[in-house]
Amino acid sequence: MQRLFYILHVIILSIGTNAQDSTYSGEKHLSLNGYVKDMQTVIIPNNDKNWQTDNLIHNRLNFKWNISRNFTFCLEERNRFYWGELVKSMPGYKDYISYDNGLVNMSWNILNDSAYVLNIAIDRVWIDFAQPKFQITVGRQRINWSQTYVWNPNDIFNTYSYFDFDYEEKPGSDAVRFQYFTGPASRLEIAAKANKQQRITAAALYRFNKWEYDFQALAGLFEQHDLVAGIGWAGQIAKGGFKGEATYFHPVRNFNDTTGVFLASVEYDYTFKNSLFLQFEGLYNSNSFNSADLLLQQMNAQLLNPKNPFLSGFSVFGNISYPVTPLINASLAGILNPDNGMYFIIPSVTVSLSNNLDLSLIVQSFQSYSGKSAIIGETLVFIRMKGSF
Amino acid sequence: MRNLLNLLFFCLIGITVTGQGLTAKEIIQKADDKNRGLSSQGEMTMTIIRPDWTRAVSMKTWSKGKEYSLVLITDPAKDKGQVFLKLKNDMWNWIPAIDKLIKIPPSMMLQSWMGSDFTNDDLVRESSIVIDYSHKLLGKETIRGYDCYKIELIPLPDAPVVWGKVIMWVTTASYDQWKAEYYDEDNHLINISNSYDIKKMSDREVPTKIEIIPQNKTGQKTVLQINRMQFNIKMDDSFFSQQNMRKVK
Repeated sequence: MQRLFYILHVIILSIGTNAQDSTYSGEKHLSLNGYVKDMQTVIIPNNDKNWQTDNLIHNRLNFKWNISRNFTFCLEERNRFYWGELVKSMPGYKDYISYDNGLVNMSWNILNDSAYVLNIAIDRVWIDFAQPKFQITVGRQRINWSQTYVWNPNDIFNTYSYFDFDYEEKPGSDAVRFQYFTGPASRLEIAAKANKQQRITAAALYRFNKWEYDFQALAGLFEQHDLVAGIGWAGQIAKGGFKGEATYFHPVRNFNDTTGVFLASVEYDYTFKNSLFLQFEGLYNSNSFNSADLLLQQMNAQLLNPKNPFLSGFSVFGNISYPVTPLINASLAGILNPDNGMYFIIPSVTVSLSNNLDLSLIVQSFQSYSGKSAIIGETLVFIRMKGSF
Repeated sequence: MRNLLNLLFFCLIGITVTGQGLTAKEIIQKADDKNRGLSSQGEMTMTIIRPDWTRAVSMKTWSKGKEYSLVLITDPAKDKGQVFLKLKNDMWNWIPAIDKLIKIPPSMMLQSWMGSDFTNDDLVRESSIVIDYSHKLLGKETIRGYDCYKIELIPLPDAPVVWGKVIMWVTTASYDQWKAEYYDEDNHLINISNSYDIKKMSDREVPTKIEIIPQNKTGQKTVLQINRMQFNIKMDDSFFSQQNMRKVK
């Protein structure tokens, strides 16, 4: 997609010629788009023939209403119908499906049976007021301050899990956000949110562009418990992307007697002329509160939080992806966490069946190798068809 | 001897055509000037055609000068709403679904999109058809009903160009780049580009369809269709901003 843009940039520059001033407006006041997906999951435990299956029919609807030049309203919701052995046999699975971490609960299991569950959830509902220099957004929204790809220490408003790939939009926050644009590539942002426990996170971010790098710094209060400060950047080394984030959390109470949590991630990616894409990322997580008893299917955004986005200690991520044909993209990703003696292997293939239809096969295998944890590894296989509209 | 004759022949043609008052370089300069304006705003569709499949992407575009451009993807549905911004040497991709602004490193430009036939070097024209080539007028030919100057472009020794040679046909009446042949350094023909459908777009007449046909690949081409285009819109530099990436519709 990025390369396409570059081509387009050149084309539109080569088309621009001299003419008269005029403007047109092709915008629609109301728009609706979304997708329908069907995903079959198979969970295969190591050394165990007791495979479990799960099927999810997933519909997303995105409504947008351009009320006036300055006001925009957005409502996005997901309808998910689960059926299969997980629904029948896994304790707490339905609660897990309907979990909403927001201040206001907007997720409901409207059909609930021993064999199936239908959940409706609103994960975006906001109104936006925009002026030439600033913008105010109120409601459930995603506030994304991240720079790197897998782990985002600067994303203090809403953590997500890399493994939860099927939730493409990622969760939102119930928040108020003010953005003041100080230049074409710089802004000051102030945001505040409340979570389910009515704890408030409030922070400010300043982002600017210098020497062809984006830099950002943030500071604030995290869940009324910690002072938080962080920095991030995005630039390039040898034409590859070079990005990083670091954040420090320190409890407000007993400030001098407590230790904080430090998180840092650094990413490098490079695309070769034949479209081979390589990506590496490292994470350091000083939070030793969790970790090794995590089960893979629980490594979703609900159990993670900005202070603890992944296993403790050092983790490294690598990804290689390549378009085998223009319509078939294959990738192989891996994560290694020596502190907990765990590794993850994630191969995937996506086939473009038509302009709006994709078929994907994704495997997530997670294994323990050193006996540091009592985890029994398992492998998840996902087959997904997605039609967008 | 033969070379000498060739040279004389070309010189003669050159003189003949120059008799009308324009050198090969001036013609290319005019064609390039026509292609580089102050600002534009439009809608277009790029279609990749292969023997057994096609894929299309549509977008709205805005540009100003050489340094600013903004693209909003309007189709296909899965990419709709994505915005790309270029400010001088910096580029960003805005993905509204996850509220993420991604800084695009230069190497990512090399990524192909669905195997489009637009190659890095003939379209991502870091090079200039005026500055980076020497030009020779080979004569005049009629191509698809339009009288054209036929001009040979040979890259200068240190120019950032992959082609060994480019032959370009420029319409005599309106200086549109009507056809081009791209040769590698071994003088093999690699790509042909053709322009079609000269139509009035705001106050200008421009080709509205451009196709690139790779040679030795039967049934393959990439077509760019311009559906709507306006020129020299009054646009502040501030239109090209990260803030506007979130607002363009």
